[in-house]
Amino acid sequence: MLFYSFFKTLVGQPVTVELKNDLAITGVLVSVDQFLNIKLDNIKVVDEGRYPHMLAVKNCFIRGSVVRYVQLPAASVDTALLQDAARRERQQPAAGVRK
Amino acid sequence: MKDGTLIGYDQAMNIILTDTHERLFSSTEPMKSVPIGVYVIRGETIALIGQLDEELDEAADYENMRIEPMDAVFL
Repeated sequence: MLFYSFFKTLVGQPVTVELKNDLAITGVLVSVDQFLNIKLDNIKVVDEGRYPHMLAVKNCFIRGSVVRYVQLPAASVDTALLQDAARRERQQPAAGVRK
Repeated sequence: MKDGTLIGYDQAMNIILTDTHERLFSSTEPMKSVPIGVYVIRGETIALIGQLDEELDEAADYENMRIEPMDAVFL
């Protein structure tokens, strides 16, 4: 759930999502769910010359399972806080999960 | 790649499209839009759902596009 919570803090930020077929899409993060499905607004395909297929698409929903990377604006990531949250999640594993 | 009108969906992301067309891109021929009617698509096989801006879509010069189809996401 950590990454879900983390992505929720990035709503409204510009991100670039790279899919497993190398297609990269930049847009404003609108929402994210528990599967890390992502909704983007105001999208632009990064290499439009090579991938003009989606030039008429302005907002989209991306299935979490096809995402390879999400590139984030460095300024909106608090790495210290993230590290701390990761440690805390390690200390208190989710209910029902055996160590 | 398909375009159509979304008329239904469920919690598994299965979707129903009407007035569906399959867009066939080719590096040697212009884009072909083949009407395929009503389509029920299993959620697992969907990579991305995008809303078409109809103005941009009408204005797009698909006839003169000679481009490779996108690579598969599901291997």
